[in-house]
Amino acid sequence: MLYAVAEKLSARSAEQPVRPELPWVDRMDGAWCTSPELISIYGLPAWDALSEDQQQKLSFHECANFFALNIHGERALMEGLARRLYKKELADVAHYIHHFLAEENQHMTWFGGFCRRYAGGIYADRKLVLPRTYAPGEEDVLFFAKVLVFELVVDAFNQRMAKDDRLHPLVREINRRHHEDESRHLAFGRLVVEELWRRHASAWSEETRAGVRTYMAAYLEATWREYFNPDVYKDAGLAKPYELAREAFASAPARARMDEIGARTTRILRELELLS
Amino acid sequence: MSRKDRLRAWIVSNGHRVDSSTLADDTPLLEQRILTSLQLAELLLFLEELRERPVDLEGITGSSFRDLRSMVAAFLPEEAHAS
Repeated sequence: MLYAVAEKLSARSAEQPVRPELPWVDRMDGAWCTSPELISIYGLPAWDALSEDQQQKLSFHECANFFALNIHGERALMEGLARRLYKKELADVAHYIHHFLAEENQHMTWFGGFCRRYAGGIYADRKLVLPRTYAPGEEDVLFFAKVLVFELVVDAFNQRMAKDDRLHPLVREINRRHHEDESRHLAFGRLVVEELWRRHASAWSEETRAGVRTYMAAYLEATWREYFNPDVYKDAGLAKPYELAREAFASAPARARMDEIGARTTRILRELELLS
Repeated sequence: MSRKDRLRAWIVSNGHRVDSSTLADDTPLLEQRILTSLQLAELLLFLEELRERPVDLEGITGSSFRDLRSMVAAFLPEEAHAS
């Protein structure tokens, strides 16, 4: 099943026409770059207190943060995928992994190109991964499950922003192109997680399986937390950026938004038995 | 409250299986899984807020978070000299 799908996805990747260079512009001023309803402090008094110009400025920095999260996520994904290329368990689908890697590399040029041109750099990644011991197969299951979470969440944003005609055309185009490729990656990623879980999880102790679910719940929460970045608020000129990030993340409007945007992610993780 | 005490309070409040009476300067936080790797990003934000300047993330490793004493030395050096 996985092999057959990977072959189909490889064919679809190969059919993808070469895309023209993105329509870069000289400056990215006075434009919406994130849909207002997707901005981290939308619905809070701190948002309502901003003028439209200030809201647009924040929408630009939120976009730069979103693209930086994509860069950090895809870099980790590429490192992990490259390490697994031609490993016995995945050797049959190595051909598709090559397409996957090539596409991820191209995405990073879009995100990196935007951040370096208009934001003057890339917002820092605060994630740290510490070495630990794993049950057989657990590290691979967790790697692909984390990739799936990262891609499901960004894809929910991509789909909405690609269609939002209030946004700058360049931003819409980056979101559109990314979604186009991610739909293939998500189909593959879900099947890999399913397959690896089926192969390995039955041999694990109940404690290990519960540990994976606890970890994935914490990973999902940590993933969302990165969308509330004090560096963004600082650059947008907002007061008390660390406090604002903490309060916004815990606020009812943000929680409702995360539940709504993340509904597909949560549903798929539950279907895969990766979330209680 | 000193910045070190505020850091201690953060660990007690966010850590697993720890309270103020059991948390010493050399309690191994990662080894005893009082803190997990997924909590370190949130902890870094708290440390930045405490020190009122960003942390240079390149070169940061797990050993900087080994225990309260290591964190103070790595992120709040003025506090380490004061104590």
